[in-house]
Amino acid sequence: MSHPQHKSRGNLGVRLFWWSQAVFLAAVVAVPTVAGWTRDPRPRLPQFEMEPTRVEPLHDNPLIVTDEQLAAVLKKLEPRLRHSQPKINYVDHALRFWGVDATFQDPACLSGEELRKLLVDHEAFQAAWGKDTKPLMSLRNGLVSVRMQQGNATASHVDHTLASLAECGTPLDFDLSLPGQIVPLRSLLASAVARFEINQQEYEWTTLAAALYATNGSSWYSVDGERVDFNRCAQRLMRQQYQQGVCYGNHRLYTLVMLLRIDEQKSLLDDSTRSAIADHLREATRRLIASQSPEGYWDQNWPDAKSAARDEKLETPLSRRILATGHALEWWATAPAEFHPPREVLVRAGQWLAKEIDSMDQSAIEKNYTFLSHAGRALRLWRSGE
Amino acid sequence: METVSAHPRPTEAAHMPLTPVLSERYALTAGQFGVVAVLTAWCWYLSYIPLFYAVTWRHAMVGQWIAEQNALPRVDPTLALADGMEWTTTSWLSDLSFHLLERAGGALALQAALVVLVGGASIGLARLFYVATSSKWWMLAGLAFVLPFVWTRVGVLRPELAGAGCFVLLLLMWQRLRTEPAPNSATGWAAGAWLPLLMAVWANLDGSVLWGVVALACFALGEFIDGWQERRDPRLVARDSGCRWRIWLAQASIAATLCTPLGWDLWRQAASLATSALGASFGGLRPMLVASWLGLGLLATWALFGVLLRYGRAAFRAGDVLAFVAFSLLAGYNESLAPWLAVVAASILIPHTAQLCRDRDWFGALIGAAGGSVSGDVLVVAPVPESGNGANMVSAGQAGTDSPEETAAKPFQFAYSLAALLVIWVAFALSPLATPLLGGKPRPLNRIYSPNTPHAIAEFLRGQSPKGLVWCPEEWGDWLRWNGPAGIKVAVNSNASILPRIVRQDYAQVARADGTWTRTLDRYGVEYLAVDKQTQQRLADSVQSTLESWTVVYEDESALVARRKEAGE
Repeated sequence: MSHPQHKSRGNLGVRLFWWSQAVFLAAVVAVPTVAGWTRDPRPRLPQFEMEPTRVEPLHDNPLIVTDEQLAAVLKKLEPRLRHSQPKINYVDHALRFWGVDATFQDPACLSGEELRKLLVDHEAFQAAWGKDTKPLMSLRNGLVSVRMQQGNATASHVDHTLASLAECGTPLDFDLSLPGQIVPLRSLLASAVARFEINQQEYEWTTLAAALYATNGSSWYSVDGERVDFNRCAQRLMRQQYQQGVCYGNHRLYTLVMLLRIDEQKSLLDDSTRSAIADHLREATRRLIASQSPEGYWDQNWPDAKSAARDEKLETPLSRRILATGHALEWWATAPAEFHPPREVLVRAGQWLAKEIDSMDQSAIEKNYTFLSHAGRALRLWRSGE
Repeated sequence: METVSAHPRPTEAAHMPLTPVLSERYALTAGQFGVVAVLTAWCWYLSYIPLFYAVTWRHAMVGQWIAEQNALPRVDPTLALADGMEWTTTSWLSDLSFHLLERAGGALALQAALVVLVGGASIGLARLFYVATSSKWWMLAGLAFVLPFVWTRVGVLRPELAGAGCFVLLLLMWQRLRTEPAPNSATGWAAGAWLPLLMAVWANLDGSVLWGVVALACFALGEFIDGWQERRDPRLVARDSGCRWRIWLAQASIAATLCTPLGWDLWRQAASLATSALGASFGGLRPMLVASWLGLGLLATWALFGVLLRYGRAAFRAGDVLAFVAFSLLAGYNESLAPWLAVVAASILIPHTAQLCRDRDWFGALIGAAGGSVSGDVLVVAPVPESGNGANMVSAGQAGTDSPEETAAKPFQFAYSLAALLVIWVAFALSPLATPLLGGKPRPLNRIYSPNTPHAIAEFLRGQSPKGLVWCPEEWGDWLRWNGPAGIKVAVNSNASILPRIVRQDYAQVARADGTWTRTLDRYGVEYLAVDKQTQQRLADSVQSTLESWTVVYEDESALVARRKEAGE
């Protein structure tokens, strides 16, 4: 015989048990579900704005290159690419050098618009390269990619084409005509950033493109879950020895300068990174001052002239010297004066470069066009500022 | 405890037998002495295991970081190339303990921790098997079953060892709970709080608390299934207050794992194990190969389970079967979880094996049968009474179980107890752990630390104070970071699984000296390259023979260090 009190206590325990099981099971179901919903709430891309940041030239120094010298250099380096199968790395270098508004009297030259169209319009690309050539840009697995380092019909550096489009002011809603479909430039940028890893081989141009379109310095996460921001990109740019990296490490220095310049408008960096970049650039300048030749050029061994200059890909000293000198003058032209060497260093370099380019024949120019585009851009920048 | 009731007069005292002051429960039998001797020898052996150069030191460094920053790290403070990877320790209490132990007592304190953790877990396991079988022989058989699975894991001091101790305690507690009715007093309820408390502590000690959660979930679900089968109606299960109590307790214990600084994040990480730091701490997906010793061991375990299902009289508890299946799947997913399976399997299969042997009268005289009895179709484990002689709980006459005669009052009934104390003392005195207390010559470095510990490389680098990255074998990273120059940045260490995929690929490429491995080192701005000549012979040869931009700055018979040449050098 059971007491009513015991029975009611027992019923209460049973009810409590079932209710508690319902709550527990709900929690067990909810936790993984919520975890699944919020598995990766981290941003996969930086915040972008439609127009790229404009980094205006800062300097006008006729001692580095006179008006006449500059005119001669620019004439020599006009993009005479209106022919069958123009090298795509020449096209994107030319676009970056001349900008999208450039027009030329020489009918052999492509205008800025035509240069850009060759890169972003598959029909224009096909017209120049033939129908059998693989497209330069394509959409695969939801990502837009630019063919690279697979011959003359492809680009030479990772995301250099993207950065060229950004530096010449192309907005993110600009249409890219891929085979069979049109996507905005934003898709190419998003694809490049989505693929980007901080430790990848070439990273300078992706960093630059992302910084030019970034709204602010907020971080994003790579496909591997690695947090990326422009501070980390800057640290990556400064990690290697000075001469290491593409174009003797000069792309790294240029991108660092550009980060500083964009940071003035967008606040991409923190104080310690700004300071580290400044130290890094000053050290580069110190090394360049120490290693400049009496004639005014630098070579592959610019970080320390005591070592022998060598480049397995570039046999002639002139090619190496134009590459090293043109790139150095380019990043200095973009940098604030605090990172400059004494004026005579710049003048010697500018004068050597202008004279050498002026004395080059057309075949030499065609052979070295990519390096020369940096040199020509550098000389123009030195005369474009206030 | 019994006491002498009065002081007899001297003349009477000469004719009176001496009455023991100690309770008889402390009087060991010869068999129990043997068990004490075996476990003492095991602990003595453990005290001689040198400290491994990986894992322990990384945890101690993380503990140091926690002590200095008074917070949990958000990235691994020991791994420079993982500074963009979100990570936090799932073993903060162990990390901090390792750091504090090392600071207080140096390497010896860490060795003592290894002995305490592994020895403690072994003793707990011994008790688990003994309680389940009431036989010293089956207890030893259980330990022997587990040993091959755990052999490669017990020699390195790591938080997982603390987790293993907690797991054994969990099994012991649950074993006891199964035989007890629901508490009907506040004291009884309070006693049940030990299990949630254990889980809360475990959740702070190590991420392996997840396996405790798995076990508890299996046991709780098994309680319900068993109750359902017994009563043929799921609604009636809740009427069993004991069943209700155990399920609640298991659930409360699972909920107690939220009591960590990680909070929900621990569960969130558990829910996304494949990509979380918790998953990485177990090494992620490392499937067990059938054609391996562990794989064969797993197969043999399942074969034994099949034999017991087919021939055993006692039915398995649903919770045990669920746990056995769950841990088999886990071990199949990651072979480093095999020790957990071994413990679960042994705790389930050994009592049934003992029962089967008794039923079939196998090994009767040799090792005897289980002290459990078959009630209905389920094996009921005989609990060890807390008072009286521990060996007396088994009904007499069962061959091979500890019989009352073994512990009958004898003139020298405490002789084995004294001998056991002597063995323990001798083992302690002869172990390296006694040196601070008893004096003696400190052990040489090559006995305190594993023979291949890169002492010389660490010492060399201390003289160099590298500012850039040091690229070294994964196994050396922890030691170089711990014992190398302050602030040294190592490329990889024992936590390499959290590195970005591209870094892991690059590490493998350099280790094999494949392709453009020198350019890979350029990309990372590597300043020093440390090479283990024994495991990276090809890389060592490449460094020696082909490099123009590197110079060998240190070399001995087992290792070399190369430094990147400065421009112009």
